[in-house]
Amino acid sequence: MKHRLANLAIFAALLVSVAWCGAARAEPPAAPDAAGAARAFLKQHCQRCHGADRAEGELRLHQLAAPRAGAGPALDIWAQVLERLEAGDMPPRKELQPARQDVEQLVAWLRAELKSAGRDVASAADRAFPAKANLLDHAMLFAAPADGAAASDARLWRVSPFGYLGLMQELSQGKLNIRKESSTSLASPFGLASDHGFRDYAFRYRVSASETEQLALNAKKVIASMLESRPTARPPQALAAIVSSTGAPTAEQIDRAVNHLFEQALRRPPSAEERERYAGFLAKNVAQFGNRDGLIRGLAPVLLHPEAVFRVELGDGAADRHGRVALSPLELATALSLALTDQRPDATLLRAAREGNLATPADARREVERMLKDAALAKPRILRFFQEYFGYADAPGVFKDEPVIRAAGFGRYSPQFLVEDTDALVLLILKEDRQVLRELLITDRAFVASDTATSWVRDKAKREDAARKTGQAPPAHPFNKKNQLNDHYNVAAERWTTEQPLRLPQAERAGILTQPAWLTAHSTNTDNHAILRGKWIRDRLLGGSVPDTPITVEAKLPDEPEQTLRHRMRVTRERYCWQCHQNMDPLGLPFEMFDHFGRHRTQELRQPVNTSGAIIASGDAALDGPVKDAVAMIRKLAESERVHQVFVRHAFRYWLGRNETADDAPTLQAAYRAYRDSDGSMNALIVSLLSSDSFVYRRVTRP
Amino acid sequence: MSISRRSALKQLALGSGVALSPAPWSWAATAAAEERGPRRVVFFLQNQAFYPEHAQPRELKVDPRKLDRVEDVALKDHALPAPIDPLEPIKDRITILQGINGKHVGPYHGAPFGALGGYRKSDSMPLGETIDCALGKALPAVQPALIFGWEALDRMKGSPIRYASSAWAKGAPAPMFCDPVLAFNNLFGVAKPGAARAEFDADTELFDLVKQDAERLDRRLSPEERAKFASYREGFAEITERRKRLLAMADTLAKHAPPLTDKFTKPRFDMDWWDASLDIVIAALVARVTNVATIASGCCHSGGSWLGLGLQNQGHSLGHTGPDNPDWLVLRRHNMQTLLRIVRALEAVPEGQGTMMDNTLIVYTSCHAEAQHSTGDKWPFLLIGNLGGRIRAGRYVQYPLFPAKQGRSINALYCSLLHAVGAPRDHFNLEGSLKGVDRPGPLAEVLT
Repeated sequence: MKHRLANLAIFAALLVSVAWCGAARAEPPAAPDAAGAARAFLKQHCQRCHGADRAEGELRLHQLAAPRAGAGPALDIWAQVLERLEAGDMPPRKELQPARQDVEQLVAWLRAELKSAGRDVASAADRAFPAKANLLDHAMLFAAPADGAAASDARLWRVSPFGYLGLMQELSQGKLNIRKESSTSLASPFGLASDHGFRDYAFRYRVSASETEQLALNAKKVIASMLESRPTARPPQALAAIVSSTGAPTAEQIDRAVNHLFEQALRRPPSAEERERYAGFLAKNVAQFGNRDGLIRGLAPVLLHPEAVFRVELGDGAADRHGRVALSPLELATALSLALTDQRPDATLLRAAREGNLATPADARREVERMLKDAALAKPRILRFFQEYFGYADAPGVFKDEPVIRAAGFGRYSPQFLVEDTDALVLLILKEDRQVLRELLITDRAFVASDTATSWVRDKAKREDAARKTGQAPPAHPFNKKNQLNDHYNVAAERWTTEQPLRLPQAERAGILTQPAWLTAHSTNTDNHAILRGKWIRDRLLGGSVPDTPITVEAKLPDEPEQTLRHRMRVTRERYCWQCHQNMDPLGLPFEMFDHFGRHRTQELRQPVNTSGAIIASGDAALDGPVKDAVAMIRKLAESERVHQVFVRHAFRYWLGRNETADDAPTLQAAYRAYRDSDGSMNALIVSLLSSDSFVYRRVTRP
Repeated sequence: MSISRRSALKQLALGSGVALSPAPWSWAATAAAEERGPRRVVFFLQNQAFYPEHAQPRELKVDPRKLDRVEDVALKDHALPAPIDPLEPIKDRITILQGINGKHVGPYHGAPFGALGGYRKSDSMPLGETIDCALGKALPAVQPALIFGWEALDRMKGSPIRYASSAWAKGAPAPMFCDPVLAFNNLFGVAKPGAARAEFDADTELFDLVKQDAERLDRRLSPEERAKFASYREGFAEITERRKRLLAMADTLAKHAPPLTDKFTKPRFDMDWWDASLDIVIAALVARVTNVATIASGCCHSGGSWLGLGLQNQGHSLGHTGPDNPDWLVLRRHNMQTLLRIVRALEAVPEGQGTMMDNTLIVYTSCHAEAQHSTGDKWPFLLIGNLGGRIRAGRYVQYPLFPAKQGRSINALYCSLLHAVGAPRDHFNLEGSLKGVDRPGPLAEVLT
């Protein structure tokens, strides 16, 4: 790997570990002689490698000017010092470690100095991204029993594209096509970030004028569809009374129409003031454009109302002794519903909210348990959690070129069906709801061409009929050059059956991380992506983090198609690169037992494939050590308490829509206990999170 | 993190930007900008690659790796290579730039935001201002920057607004229209005759109504949440303000609005909507609704669709073919025809002693730099037009490749554009870890 070191760059060693510093903890006051303490710190912990005698990474700190305005390049170096200290990867783990308090003091002082010097440093908000969540020390959350008053900040949360379209679909009674990217669809103007990791974080999305214009167009389209009369869905009575009449509507009819849409879209009646304004607007539009068009235009603003666009979670009532308020009953009902479904709260939730039975964590627990037991209630957000956590649903986004597909022996490559297979496996394990993470990691079961299995069963009579007519035997299996889904799993066509899941060899497969969907989602256009796979293990199972690729690094492997990936990755073992890559590559290279289409292999380029790797600096000493291949590594990881705790941290992020802070330790510990003590029940974990103080209470900063 | 455009611009006005002579953006700034004479800039980004070979005159044999000085020659004696030879008739008005450095952007497989920002690419959140938005602030208009994304038809319908090429500031991406009808309604809705005009007025009232609810909620928010809510709350004011300004120029809009033909409303192919959006770009420039437009063909990512051009390679695979592939010749020449269409349209509109094109610059490049699997160390650009005499034209300029002393970066090119429109800066986004990428100052070879 060619790279260029900038003048200011950078600590040579970027050993990845968890950080000392809590993302949202109050920064301690700086010591009176903070500048002197900072110099002493650098002298004791940094200058042996970055001083007069040595300049690791071309960096010397012994004559660094104070971080003051006008200090020029010194400010950039100080900013790098701050970044590395906050990331917790300096000094390297093998060196004498400073006291946590000393680091915190230095970080606080340095932040303040750089700010007053006008130097832009990463803000707390930058650390709110999911990729930075593991910078919060795992030990800080789980090492000691925690108590305290957890809460989230009062916030707005832009509805997700799914939640938005869910409401629009409900309003249109299915008369509008809301399938994504269909030519007849109702388009959501909202998107979600396309980076790996959880996408729907509350802080992340805003709504600007361009989206609002589209919301207005959609609103009219949806209301127009509500007015359409079909045998299966007639217009709501409150609107039909106006649209079917040729005369001017009465004031009462106008009020009823406004009321109806408020109740449907916002799940509440309008306030007296709102009714007056919205009814006035509707009446004016009806008078100007006629009953039908007037309804469409006059009711549209209800669907642009802030409560239709944002989940409002400000809390209500008096603050408790910790300065927290509970979500209002309607806010809690909405939060619970959108946590599990893409719909606004159902009638039961709304009744509980109206009757004062939705105010406490115990109320939330009761309702979540009810919804989880309700088999008729679609809960797509649970599967979506696993899709985002594992990242396997990204497989179709990894482009494989036709020549590459053909060279691999495939006639057709259809990654979306691989994703469906893995979805089916996740849903099966969720249905069993025992040791969910462990099963997901080590099961030898797999759905293989599950979509094909459905059609194969359905079309049996048709095949037999065709065979009778031609006098030939019906085909024994559905696989041919256009459908080689079985090959991804190394399942011979003759062995395949519609009775699924199948059992795969335990030496070759272990759970989701050995499913073709996950493997291809974590591959490149032409090869495996050992770095990304290793990063996934580091991040999602071990709770570690890897710094962003330094801007001065040209992250590219040599183009040597005749060499193995492991050999081409020799460049990452250059000293500068290895400081980070040692935390990814040894975790990713064991997956070389598969090719980039997810097939198990024993040879690569006509040589026995090297599948060795290692777990390093995991935070759980029992885990550390060499591993012979991915299956062995996964089985080891699946038994680790730390891995299960890290899983709980990720579930927290998804359902709370934010990174955890040190104050959330009681919530996380309770969630982990609920999961552990219920024999690894995902339902128990979800119930615990959605009835936690972090979910129900809001910390209020009054304007 | 995203902040609203208005907030971003307010921050700039308060001096938090890096401008040497910051032009605090406001509606009132329009008059000041017009005193400098009209200026307009159009960016066209073709994804997947702009191969240096496609912009290399056949007789000019230059090995940039061996250069130790800038090669700067007149184009008039050299025939343009086939991929760009549709521009041969206007060769005296184009400049070819070769060897510009953008390695720090990381354009391998595309550089969302980075290609126009001169900083590390990002799929979701821009790290700073992009040059089209910077120029939009310097050349204010009702629509400070009009941005279109071209993609496969279904994708454009599925995501009518995207964020991929442009940004007002760090964390403040600028919306990109994929749906030309939506853009039409935004910009030319007022130009609809009769009852539609009444609808436009009613829509304005609609936004005013919701704005009151937004302001009510705003009063309950903490300062942090209020900042997040600002783009929504201010969006209504922005829409209302824009609509007022559009209403004030309704006659002009009606005169220049493109007809809403089937290619807008019943598109059959991807190219129908591309063509429609090009109509809007031209109409918006001619009607002076905007002075800066960007077209990102492929939306800065590595997919794409060119149904209608008859290419054998579609989507990502086109980028795997190389400069000699016949499909690239077809696509590049189609790009050039598109640019020519803008040129000819602006030439047809008198302005001052000449035409609108005399005060226009078109910048053509790729958001992937020199290849799909690029390093960004030799990023080609085409400049068309001389921007009221501020840009040298009819030149072929080859820069030595970095780290040669005479090597220059895309940041320097963008800095030059700001100088050319009368909003000079010391540098463009060469801050923090990018300070070492290039020296400050514009490209002497680009400015007159």
